[in-house]
Amino acid sequence: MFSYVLKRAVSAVVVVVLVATLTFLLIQAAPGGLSILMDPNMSSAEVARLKHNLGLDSPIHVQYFNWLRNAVQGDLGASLSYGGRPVAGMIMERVPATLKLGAASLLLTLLIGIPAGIAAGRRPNGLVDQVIGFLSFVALAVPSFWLGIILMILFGAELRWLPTSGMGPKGDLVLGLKHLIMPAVVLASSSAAAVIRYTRSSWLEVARLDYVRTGRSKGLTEGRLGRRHILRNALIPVVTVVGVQLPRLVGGAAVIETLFSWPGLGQLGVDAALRRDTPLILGVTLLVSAAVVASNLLVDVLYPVIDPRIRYS
Amino acid sequence: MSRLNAPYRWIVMFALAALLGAVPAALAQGGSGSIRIALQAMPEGFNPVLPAELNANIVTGAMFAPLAAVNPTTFATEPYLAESWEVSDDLMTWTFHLRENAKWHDGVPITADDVKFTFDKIKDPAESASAYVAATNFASVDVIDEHTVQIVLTAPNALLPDTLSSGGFEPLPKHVYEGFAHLVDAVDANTRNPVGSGAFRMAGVQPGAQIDLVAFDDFFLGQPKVPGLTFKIVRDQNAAVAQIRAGELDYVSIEAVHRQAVAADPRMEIFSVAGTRYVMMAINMSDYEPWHTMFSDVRVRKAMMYAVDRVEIAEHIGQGLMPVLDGLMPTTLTWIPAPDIVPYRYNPELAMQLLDEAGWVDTNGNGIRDKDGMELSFYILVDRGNAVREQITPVLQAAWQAIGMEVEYFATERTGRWLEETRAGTFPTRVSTFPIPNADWAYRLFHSKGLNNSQHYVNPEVDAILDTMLASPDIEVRGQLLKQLQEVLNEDPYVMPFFLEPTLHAIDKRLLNVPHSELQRAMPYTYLISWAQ
Repeated sequence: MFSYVLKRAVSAVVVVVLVATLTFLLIQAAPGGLSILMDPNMSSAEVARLKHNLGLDSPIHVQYFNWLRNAVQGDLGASLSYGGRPVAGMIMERVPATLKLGAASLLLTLLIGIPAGIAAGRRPNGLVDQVIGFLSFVALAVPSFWLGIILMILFGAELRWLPTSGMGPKGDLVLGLKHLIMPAVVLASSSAAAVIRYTRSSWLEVARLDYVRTGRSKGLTEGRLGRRHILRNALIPVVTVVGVQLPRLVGGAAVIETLFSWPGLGQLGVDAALRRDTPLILGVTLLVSAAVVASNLLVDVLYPVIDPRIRYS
Repeated sequence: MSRLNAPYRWIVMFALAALLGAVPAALAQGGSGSIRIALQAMPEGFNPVLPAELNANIVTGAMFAPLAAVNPTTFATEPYLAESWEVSDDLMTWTFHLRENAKWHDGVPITADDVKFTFDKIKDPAESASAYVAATNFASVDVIDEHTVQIVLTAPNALLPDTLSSGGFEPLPKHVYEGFAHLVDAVDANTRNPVGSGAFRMAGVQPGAQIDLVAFDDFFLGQPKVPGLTFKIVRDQNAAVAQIRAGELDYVSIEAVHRQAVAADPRMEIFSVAGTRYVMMAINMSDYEPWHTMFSDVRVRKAMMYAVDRVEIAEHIGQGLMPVLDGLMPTTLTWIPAPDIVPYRYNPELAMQLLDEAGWVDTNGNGIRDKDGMELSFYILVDRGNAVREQITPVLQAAWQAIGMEVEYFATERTGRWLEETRAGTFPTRVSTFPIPNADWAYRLFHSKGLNNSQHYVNPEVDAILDTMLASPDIEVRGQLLKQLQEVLNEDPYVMPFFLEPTLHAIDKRLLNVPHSELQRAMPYTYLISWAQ
């Protein structure tokens, strides 16, 4: 197991470096450049002067290896558009907001997705299954920004129950929770729907197996059978789905954060991309790709815990 | 049974918890608190001298005082941090008298040393100041006494206060920045804790969410009448409308498509602000071929003017918010007399006659006019993302095709081909906007040596008018010269103006004295805004 994790960790580092390299090349290949230099009223000489001052006039490969060398030493450089602020500091100040939103949405995903999936799986094609199925399909089909706007109009503008943007003032827990509800619900809607679908189908699959029939014939109650014998096995594919959602904890959700002015990493990534701020884009990409690789590794490590039959040699 | 219902219990419990947390709250603070203004993006920083985009300029406009400012109602350049100024007869030496009661937000008095320090930094090429090029005309900046600073120029300029009001020349606190080799090194002052001189001072930044400014009680023009300004970052216009209706915003620029939705809110009033920026089509006048061959003949350019129904465009694409613009100076600059011109009106027959006279005729019957083996074939560049400009472009294409031209158009990212061809001077025609907040910009855009003459237009008569204007201290004389300029350019057209770009503002009705101007231009005057009692 240890050697497996070690191998995966090494390959993870390679993947992250490749992602960073590819991102750097894509930024360079795209037309245009740093947004503060894109003023059409700036002459070419003026742009050249500012590029020189910003260190952007050196060859691309030199810029890349400078960045990589510093990144390996833990220095992600300074933002080119945000007044020279250190990228690491900018990312770190956004992490709590993203973790808060990601954790809330993951909690909602699990609290809604697994019970609703089980409920649907217990009585396939019954009324409950059909209602849950319909709602989960709607949740999967509806674009999150549209749902966000609708919730904003309904709960923010019409009912005035919930604030529509930002995180609220620091220290006010109740108001902070109110600010969290709408973005977390929107973010959780599609992932909860996915978990519902996977839980239902997985439950149905396991419930048909011989050992479940044996348990039932030996007089086990449905509740005991479900909790002790079906759920654990049915959760394996669900863990995979949840694992896919995990990077959101770090990577944020760009659309939702932008819509609700939630000051997280997703919004920072969008800003960085729109401003073509290379060090900031690379910093955010590095963190998000590391989170994806780490969550995939975590899911793989969790498999043998959930199902002892799975072993890594 | 109760065990079977466990999943539902979880759902119900969570829903209850959510609803309990969602009891109605006093979300709408309007009526006495800070004015909540929507910004479309998080500002890059809060140093007005360094390059930044519009959102940063809006916030620094409330925090930093320029020596002179453009009055948002009259568009006249008037004293601000400088109480007065005088200029030598040769227009080479300008003396500015600072207000003696002016203080930085940390309580330190603002002196001529601060102005000299800042302007010396701006004209230092090693600094990344946005106004560097404009400051290359500064021979020296000298401190005369604590509150008097003198700028000696390398060439006469009657419009220096206009230049200083255009942004990028706001004095910085020397005591904050002098310890750093370069302005950009003062990261904390530039991005988190700026020390400004304007009516509002920094109270806090929540990156990506909002910026809180509070009234600066010692502001030199008097204590602001509202407790503060809160800039909320709202990238999405639909979200901004929802926030207006939720009572979370008081002052927002909105798009025309949202007018009806916002108008339904009895709290808000909507007004249209005529800016000093107008939508236009420009023809490349450089020597770049084949465009030079096509457009150097004024009859071709006049034909292009006559082929387009600009009145229809203003009525339908501009939604009738602004009348068609005939001169090349914004009508909002009311000190410029109306030009004595015969405006171009839709006349395709005359357009075709002019092309015939210029020798552009369809010799091979393919529907495209040609001359000496060259077809009258070109394209229009437009930057993607602006609905008005993108709608105008195909109308131009159809109008010019109707008189025998072959026209394509390319809607590209502003930071992509549009910008590259604009800078390189390789585009044939482009749809864009001209910003002319003051006379200084007329020089920048139309003079052959103008910083923003992206069309590479050269006309000695125009240069002479603008040179004279730059050396004319009398605003009436300048007005007459700009009238004359428009008359000359009407006879030698290379810019097709459409209409002033309107901005719709939605504002809480209880706010008084809100300048009816673009947000950026309104900021130095926000100290006058108050809540109705």
